[in-house]
Amino acid sequence: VRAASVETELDPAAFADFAVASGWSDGLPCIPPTPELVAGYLAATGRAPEQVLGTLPPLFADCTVERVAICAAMAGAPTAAMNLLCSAIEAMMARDFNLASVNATTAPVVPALILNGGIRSRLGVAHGAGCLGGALGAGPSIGRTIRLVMRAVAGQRIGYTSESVFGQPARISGIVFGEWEERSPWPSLAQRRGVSGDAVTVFGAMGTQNICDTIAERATSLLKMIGLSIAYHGCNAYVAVNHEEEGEIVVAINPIWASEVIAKQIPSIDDVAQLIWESAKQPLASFPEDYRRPFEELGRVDSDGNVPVVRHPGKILLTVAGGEGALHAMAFHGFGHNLAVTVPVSS
Amino acid sequence: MATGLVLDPTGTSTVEIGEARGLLEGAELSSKSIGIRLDERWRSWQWIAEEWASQLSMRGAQVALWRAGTRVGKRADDMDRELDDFVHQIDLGIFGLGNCGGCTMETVRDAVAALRADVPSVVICTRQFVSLARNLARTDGFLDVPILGLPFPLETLSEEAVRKVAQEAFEELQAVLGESA
Repeated sequence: VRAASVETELDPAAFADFAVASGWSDGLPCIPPTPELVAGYLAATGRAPEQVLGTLPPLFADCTVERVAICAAMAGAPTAAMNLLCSAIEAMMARDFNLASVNATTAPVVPALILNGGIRSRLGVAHGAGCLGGALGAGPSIGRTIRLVMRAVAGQRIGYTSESVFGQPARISGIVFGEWEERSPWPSLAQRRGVSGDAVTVFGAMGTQNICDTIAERATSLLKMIGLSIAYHGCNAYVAVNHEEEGEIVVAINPIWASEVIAKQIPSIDDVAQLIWESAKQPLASFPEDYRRPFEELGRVDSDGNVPVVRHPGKILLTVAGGEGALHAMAFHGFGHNLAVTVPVSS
Repeated sequence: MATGLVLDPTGTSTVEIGEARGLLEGAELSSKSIGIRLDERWRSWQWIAEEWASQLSMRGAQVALWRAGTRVGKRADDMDRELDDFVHQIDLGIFGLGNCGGCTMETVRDAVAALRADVPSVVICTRQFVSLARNLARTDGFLDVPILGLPFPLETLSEEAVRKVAQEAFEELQAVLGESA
């Protein structure tokens, strides 16, 4: 064990105060990361404690496996989540994830984790009803671990190294959910991105956007509603995107819509994405006049005078999750200046 | 009350501490090659850079412009190479524009790349982001990067108003650059 040890009071309230004063915590109570507790996390991974997963901005500090273990212990994450946590951190170090900007920006972006493979059930990460909040499971403690890593290890501090204007609740709990692969009519998100087995996709999410539809009988109509809903004028895909590779939106479709409505009429997921994309646009004329020129200069206006919210259907990342009550989809708008990254969960 | 040992999760910076070289140190702009880093996000900064480039050229400087963008996807490596070429063709760098959190980070990182290549450089930010730029430069190893603040908000001004801002700020730029009177 290489981290410094500090003697302090272990009483919950006293330790909470200590963790805040030391810059370790987010203000919520934390479990004291005693050497014995942290050792349990380290034992759950085949990785060496001193292995550096990445040098995290803005502090450019080495994020070791041990530091992740300490944060996981404080957040109360399952010890079995260590390999996932380490793989997720490594994914965030990919160039395309642009973690330096994610951690400094005015935007409320937070790294969301979408899980595929058997790891979902082994860890108890929800993928069905209430998977984004409310369902019992390990998602929030895993998400909070990532947030504590960004705060304590990476040095992301509001008003100092982060210019975040509002933030969002997920900057405390993170966003961690699984894809309901067993109820999806399509290959999983990770498989479509070239990774099979246990996998995690990290995505810079601006938050959650509910899409409600109480009619949803015809697939084409439903996909049009989804497309229309995700193309709102003030989303980052409109205001922050200057290059064709930038801008992504994740759309989580509930299993009833996916299997019973959409796939029965439109079997190919590429066709599904295409149909959503064809409606995910706004007429250039609907933007205030002084907002139009940049779209024209960037070549973002199509031949019909519309501005697609993202440049092509591949920028809409589809996943299946949520409860069987149907009626809702959930969109996660991207930051605009980074791209999703999918990696295997490895020990 | 029970006490015990706990492990410290906090990270410490691994970056090498650098020292920003003095800029012109009282010298003249003439005969210097001065680079201005543009940012595809901010048209206001483009207008300001055009104004400053014109003023610098009138004083005999050779001005090179380089347009930066977010480094993701296929163009990331190309843009890295462009930055490297840019830094190695200039005597002095003007890096902008810090006008949001992410772009301030990217502006500072590019300026730090120039400083580490021993190219004296100044960071340009709107005033709202000066503190962030200073803090990010510190976490990137430079405690004393010159930073020039422009009015905020800037992007909402008309082109005419932005160009006036550029003209008014040029004297301050000269002072930051260290040009002799």
